[in-house]
Formats: sequence, structure tokens, C-alpha cells
Amino acid sequence: MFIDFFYFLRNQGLKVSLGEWLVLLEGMEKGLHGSTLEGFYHLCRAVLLKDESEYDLFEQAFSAYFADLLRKPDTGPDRAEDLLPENLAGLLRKIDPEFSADSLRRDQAFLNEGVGGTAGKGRNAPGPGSGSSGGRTSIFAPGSRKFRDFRKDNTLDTRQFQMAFRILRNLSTQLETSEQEFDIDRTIDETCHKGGFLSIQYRKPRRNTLRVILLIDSGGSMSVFARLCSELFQAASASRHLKELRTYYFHNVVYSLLFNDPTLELRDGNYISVDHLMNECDGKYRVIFVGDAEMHPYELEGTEYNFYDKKEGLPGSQTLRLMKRHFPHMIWLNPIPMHVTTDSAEDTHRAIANIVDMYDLTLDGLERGFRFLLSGKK
Amino acid sequence: MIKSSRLETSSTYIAGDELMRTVNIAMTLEKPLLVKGEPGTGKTMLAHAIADALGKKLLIWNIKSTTKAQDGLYTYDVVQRLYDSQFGGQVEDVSQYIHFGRLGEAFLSDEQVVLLIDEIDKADLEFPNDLLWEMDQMEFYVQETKQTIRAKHRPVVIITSNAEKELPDAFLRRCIFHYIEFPGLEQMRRIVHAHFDRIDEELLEQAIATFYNIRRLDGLAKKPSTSELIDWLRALTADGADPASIQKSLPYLGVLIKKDKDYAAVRQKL
Repeated sequence: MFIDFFYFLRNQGLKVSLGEWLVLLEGMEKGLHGSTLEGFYHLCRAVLLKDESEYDLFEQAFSAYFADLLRKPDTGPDRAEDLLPENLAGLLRKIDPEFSADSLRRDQAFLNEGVGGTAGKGRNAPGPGSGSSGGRTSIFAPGSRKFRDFRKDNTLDTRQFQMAFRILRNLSTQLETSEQEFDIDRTIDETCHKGGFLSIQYRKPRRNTLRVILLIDSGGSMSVFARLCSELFQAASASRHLKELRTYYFHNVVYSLLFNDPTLELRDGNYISVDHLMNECDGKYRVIFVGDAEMHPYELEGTEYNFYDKKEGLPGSQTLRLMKRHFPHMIWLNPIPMHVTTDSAEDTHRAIANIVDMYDLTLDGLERGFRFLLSGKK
Repeated sequence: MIKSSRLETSSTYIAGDELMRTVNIAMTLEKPLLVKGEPGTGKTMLAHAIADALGKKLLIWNIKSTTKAQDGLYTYDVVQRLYDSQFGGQVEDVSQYIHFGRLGEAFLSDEQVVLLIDEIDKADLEFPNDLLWEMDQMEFYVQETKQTIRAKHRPVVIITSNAEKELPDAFLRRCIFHYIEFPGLEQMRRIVHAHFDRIDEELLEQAIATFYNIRRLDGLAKKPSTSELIDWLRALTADGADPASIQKSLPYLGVLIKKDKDYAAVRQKL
């Protein structure tokens, strides 16, 4: 009967593993749930969940599973149990072998009022996070889901992104550093040469020398992908192994200017010209574009849309070619896969893919793209 | 588990009911307890409180970005050994060049200890995975001396994380997890009282109200936390600030707010 709850949680999207489930059973055997539904709720949460973003989902699932408990009228000690579906009754017997009308009332109170209510304190306290304030009267009542702010229903988590960024390594000892580490092999060699007289040798450590420029399309059709981009950016900035990471923003396609923040405001210090960037950074920099490549064909081939810079300069496609010549290691990551693009976008999508090597912004695409970025080989 | 060795709210650390429950679950099931929460919600203090409550020694392993799993087990000082051999020292006994790390110390201790692995997310992405075996089996092998170090008493392990990096699933599956919520008004009063023997109630009420108002402001880069509130209250009491003026003039705001942009925003909005 009990295993039913396990599969229910998994079906609700909680990644509960068998190992964790066995730990839960062990905890119940040791009486850690204190024979109450509330105790069981806490034990489950402590053992089965591993991230606060799952708290909300778990609360929802828990209250859904035990919802029948609330619907049943408060009848006599024997009948209360009979009225419940077999799986629920079984679980409740497991939680409390002496399940009675009293325990049913207590459990109902817990489901109705939740932790905040039964604890009797914390009422009227401001809620956690930036959510609206208000009392914590019930964790289960609609509108008071206090962990909702932590949810993240995303498929790609930042850890996976971060792991992908680790591909971007180019280890070298040619560094301007005074750091030293002990070199066993050369110490043995030198010591032998000196007839056993110890000669300690040090060497410079190997460090990543890779420098990356991240260019992100901002606004317009890209707003739907804002979160994906921000996660990619977070993963990139968390990748401390990079020697240098520069991030700039543009809209649809790169003309003569790049911006420091996604607002693309043309104010002092908020932009850098593409020429300037190419002067500052040599061809060893790895350049990553992130954008959906969806735009009016004229945006790519004309300069009319370069209102950031008096509609002058080179058309987007030519800027891209120029950059590709300067930065041989350059890729374009696209959140829209090539095969699902609409007709209107197909022109620009393919046109850009012909200039810059394009990869899907998925884990797989990211890895293939990064490998190419590093080695120049597909 | 004996009742007396359970964690109760101590005089200096105010633990929420849920937190205490989770600590007891972790100790009974002998699993590491992973604690997450906003900075300043007392994650590190928790380990101190547990050690105090249990009357056990606390070992703290502070994790930095360069920390390797091996550092916690042992290091082998090969350079010292080479030098010693040069000057005719006794070098046959390799074990004198083995220095145990915090985890090693915890395993070797003659009595059970509380081991705090502080800010595990600071380390390399692979770091937690490198400790899986040692944490599961409570033993490790010292290659140089061909010796297996096994925990004499399973330490109570507390791990804190600021969620700067996400932790690997395999590691998470082995932990009991608790997220410390930011304390509510009532609990915050109890926390403050635990830190101050005596405090002007009017001052406290005004300061706490202002504090929560600031936390409610949208778009702050860093919200002030409990420890900053305590510092602020210290500053206010030392100065003898007028409780009535706190909400308006926000004295010593720099103690609460550390970023220029936030400082300006708070001044403007409150």
C-alpha cells in the first residue's frame, strides 16, 4: 500500500530515489514521525527533498494525496478508517498503528491549518523572500503557498550548464605568475644528477588560458528565452576557470555597437564599438553569440535598423563576416532549433548559420558547440 | 537515540521547530545534514549550537574555492621527508609525514565529534562527489602507509551551502536536507533577546519594523539578514538612538545595507 505514495510523488515530478525511500522507511521504523501525519510530513520533506525549489511541489502533492482525509465526515473510531480508500487507510495505519477518531481530527487540523497554524507562532509574520507579506495561516490553503517563490520548472539546470562550460579549458603553463608547485619528476632527476644531494624543483602550475566573449541577443523575440539566457550567463560567470569572460548585449544582429547591459541604452560607458572590441581582443578569444536569429531580412542586409549608431556602419551580415575573420573561434547558440523555425525567420536563420557555425541552445548543442570552439573541429 | 542528547533550543541559538525536528532526524538516521538558507540565517551557528547541546567537540572544515577533497582526509609532506633524509633524520616512519585533515581528525577522535563542512558550494563542482565514499563508509585509505583510517565514532556531519553552485544528485541523495526560512517577526524577537540581555522594547519594535520594511523593498541586490540586524541594534543601543526617529532618519543604515545602489534605493523609498 505504502509504495503507492512513492510512485505518486514521482508522478508529481519529484525526483525521489529508491535509496531515499528506504531511508524514509528506516526513519519511520525508528519512530521519527512521532505517529502523526504532521511528523510524517516533516520526515518526508527532510529525507526525500533536496532543494527548497521542491518544497512547493511537495506541499501540493502531499495535500492532494491526503485530500480524501478532509472530505470524510468525522465518524466513529472504527468507521473513520473504513470510509477511506484502502491505500490511504493503509498508510495512516502505518503512520499510527492506533489510528483513531482523535488522530483523524488532529490530522485534519494539520491539513487544514498547516505547520504555521499548529505551531501557533509566526502568524502575521512577513513571509520569506520577496513574496507578499501576510500571515502564515496555512501552508496548504490556496494562496498561501509559501515556497512558491523557490520553484523552477526548467528542464536544464545551471549545474548542467556549468558542466558544459568546463569543456572550455585550454591548459597552459605559459603564465605570468609567481605561483609555484612542487615538481616530483624533476626533483628526482636533479637529485640523481647531483649524486643524491637533494635538489628541490618547482614549476609553474597549469592554468586555463581561455578567454571568452559572450554576446547575447536582448529584447524582442528573445524575451521568451530571457530565463534561459540568464541561466547561461550565470553558469558562465560561475565558471571561474576561465581566464577572462566578457559579456555584451545586442539586438537581433550585431551592427557597429555592443552594449554592457541588456537595456541597450545608448549612454556613456554602456557600450563598446565592435572595432574597439576587435582592437582590444585578439583572435585567440572565443566568441559565443546567443540569439534566435529571427529578424527581418533587411535587418541583416541593411543598416536602416542600426538606430543605435545613426543608421550607419556596415550591415549585420558584413559585421558578422568581419568578426568571423578576426575571431576564427566563433559560434552561435540558438534557442530555436533549426528545423522548427518559421518561414519568415528561415531566411535570416540560415543566412547567419552560413556565416557563423550555429548550434542549438540545448545541453547537447552546447557541448558540441564548445568542443568546436575549443578545437576548431566538428 | 537518547532523548537527552537531542537538540533543544539553547540560550544563544534559536532554532525553529522544523529545524530542530530535521536535526534530530539526521542524527537518528546517521546521515549528513545539508543546511541551506539565505546568508545570515545562522547556518554556521547551527553547528555550534548542536555541538554545545550535545556536549561534543566541534571541528570546522572551512571550504574555499581551492579546497580539494583530499585536504580533508590527509596530506603527505614529501618535501619535509626529503629534507630530513638529507640531514640524516629518521625517515623510515612515513606516518610522521602524514598530516590528517578535518575529516581525518573527526574519524580518529576518541569520542564522537560534530563536523561542520562550511560552505561546501565554494569548492570545485566535483568536490562533493569526491567525498561520497568516505562519507558513506566512514573510512579512507592512506596510500603511503597502507593504512585504513576508519571512524571510531561516526561524526555528526553538518554541511552548509549558500547555493552558489548546485550540488551533484548522487551527493544530495545521501543527505538530509533543510532549508532555513528567514525568521518571522515573533522568532526574530526571540533571536534578538537571545543576543541582548536587555534592550529597549520600543527601540526593538521600531528597528524590527524598519528592518522588515527594508527587506520587503523590491530590487535590493542584497537584503539585510539577521546578523546585520543584530549589528544594527548594537549600534543603535550604543548610540542611544531615539526609537521614534528610527523609521524616519534610518541612523547607521550602512550597518544594514552594504551596497551603494541599495543604500540610495532605501534612502529614497523609505
